[in-house]
Amino acid sequence: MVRFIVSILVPDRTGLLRDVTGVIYALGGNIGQIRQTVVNGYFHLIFTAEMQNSNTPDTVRGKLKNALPNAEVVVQNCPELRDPVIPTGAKFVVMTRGEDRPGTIHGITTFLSDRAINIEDWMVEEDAGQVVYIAQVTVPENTDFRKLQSEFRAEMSKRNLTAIFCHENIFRATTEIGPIRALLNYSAADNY
Amino acid sequence: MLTRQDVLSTIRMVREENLDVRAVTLGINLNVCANPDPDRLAKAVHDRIVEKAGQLVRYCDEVSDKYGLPIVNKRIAVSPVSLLLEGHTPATAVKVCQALDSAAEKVHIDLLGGFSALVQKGITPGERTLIASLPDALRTTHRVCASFNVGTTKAGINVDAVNMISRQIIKTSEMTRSSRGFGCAKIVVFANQPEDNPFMAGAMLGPGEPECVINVGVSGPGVVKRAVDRMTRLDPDVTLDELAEEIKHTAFRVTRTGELIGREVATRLDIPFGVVDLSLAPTPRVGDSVGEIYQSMGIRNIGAPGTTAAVMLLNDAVKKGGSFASSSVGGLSGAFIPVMEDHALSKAVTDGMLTLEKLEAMTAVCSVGLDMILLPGDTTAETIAGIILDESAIGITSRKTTGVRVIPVPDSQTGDFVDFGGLFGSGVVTSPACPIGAEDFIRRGGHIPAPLHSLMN
Repeated sequence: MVRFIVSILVPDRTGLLRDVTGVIYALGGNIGQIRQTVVNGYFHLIFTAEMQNSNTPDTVRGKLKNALPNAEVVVQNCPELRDPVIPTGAKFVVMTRGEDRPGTIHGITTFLSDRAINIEDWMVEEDAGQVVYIAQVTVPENTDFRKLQSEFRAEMSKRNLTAIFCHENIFRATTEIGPIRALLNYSAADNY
Repeated sequence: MLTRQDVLSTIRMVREENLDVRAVTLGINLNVCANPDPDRLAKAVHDRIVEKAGQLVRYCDEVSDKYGLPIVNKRIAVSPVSLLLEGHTPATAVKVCQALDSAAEKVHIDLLGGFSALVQKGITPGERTLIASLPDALRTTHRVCASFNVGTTKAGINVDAVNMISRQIIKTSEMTRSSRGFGCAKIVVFANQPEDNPFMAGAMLGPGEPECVINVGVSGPGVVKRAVDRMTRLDPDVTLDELAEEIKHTAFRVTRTGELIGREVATRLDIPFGVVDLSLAPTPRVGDSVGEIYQSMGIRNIGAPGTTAAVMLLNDAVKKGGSFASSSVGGLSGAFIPVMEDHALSKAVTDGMLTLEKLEAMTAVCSVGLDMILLPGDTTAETIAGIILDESAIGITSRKTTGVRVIPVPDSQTGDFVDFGGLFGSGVVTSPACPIGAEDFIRRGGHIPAPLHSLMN
């Protein structure tokens, strides 16, 4: 068996996921992880699929292009990664809010990257004419949260952004119904 | 991975609705400090508080930064100081009060509660000593709060204690004349006083509590007010049961937040976590008012018929949401109506819409009682005692906590404006519609027996 990672970018319409999975099924493939999102009317899908060794990235790409002529399709071999690239640490949510200006996302991501903070998810909201960026991130262990919080707020205020770091437990506490004690024990077990 | 909705709804509470934790209160039992030597007693009290609470503010600040949430007040509640005063004089009580004040300052705490006595059934010499010291103790300190329990559903009401404390409230007012009787803002008289209340001025660590414990007061009323506003904006015809449901959901989330913060602070201090107090505690700031919640619900004039029902709806919904959120709910848990500390309530009193009598009715269904009310300078001890007795009667009959925190303002008359500043707020002097006429009843003293329903076994 061989495993591929596939990325598809195409103008959104009803039935896209059916068309993509139909191609993979016809090739005898089995889809593993899959994620989709829509940005400004463009549908983006990324997934992994295991197939017989007779398939190559080019044959898979060709079949997908036939089914979706106006799509950008990328297919690569996807061997198992031996060492996890994603760092471990505490899970935080980062939020900034302010006017939509060029360079804002670069400023935020530079701040995070300089401190080895990994972005796991990123979302954008518009609210009352302002842009709200929300990222779920992993902060390395032994980080000084007080320093991180104050530095982030100071750095973002230079860009006229209000900003905040919140540990993920606050979100879990307010949306889940399990005991709070269990939430804290879980965090402690993971050295958060 | 958190869902988009999880993140957005909580971020909205943090960013737009001023979600916070109103109070993290460290309870410390001081009984180990008992000593026949006044100087050693005072030093032991001071040193124990500094030892146990030395890291409280630091840990609260760290947890606050970790979660991006303000912890508005960090406070201390000690076991009733009267327990340390057996065999001592009022001068020693004042010395201990000053030691408490000094220790609070050293650990950067603005208010410390527990200069207290539980006198619902009788008064010991030590409790008598503490009551006698009250005016001097509060005149010479800044951070210490006093509280007394004068009645319980099981014990009835100790009228002798009520009379004694009422006279000391008048004396405290006179001795703090230069600050317009501000000393009385630090005295609360309770019926059914909880032993784990984290809110001032009535916080103390009850005799049944652990040696040290963290109790937490949940976010202020602003979060609930904005939730009600959102509902009425989306649907102007929203019904009261739908509002109650929304308040319940909000209370669930703020309670969970409070417990999370409290447990984390307790873990860092290596002491047990106690309770989350669900009370909505207002401040004089606009947007942080319980009165504004009633207005958002449709009570345009606070004090109009319907206000008591609004208080009941709010109090009940908060308790239902909070009790589902946590198994560690305690303290006062409901809605406070401290007039001076709540600008909407204060304005309603100023405008003559909210009277003392209506407030008393509201206390039958709120979480505490007549709180932060300015009285004229010529108010007698008997009038104050009558107010306390009435509130206690409501409390012990309804099996709920009631409290009285009134401030007779020296040389003032009804309608005068008084501003204490900061969290204590401002307001106008008000008076009962009929302030005199019950003196003969009150001076009889003795004890009002426990109600029939106290016989539960």
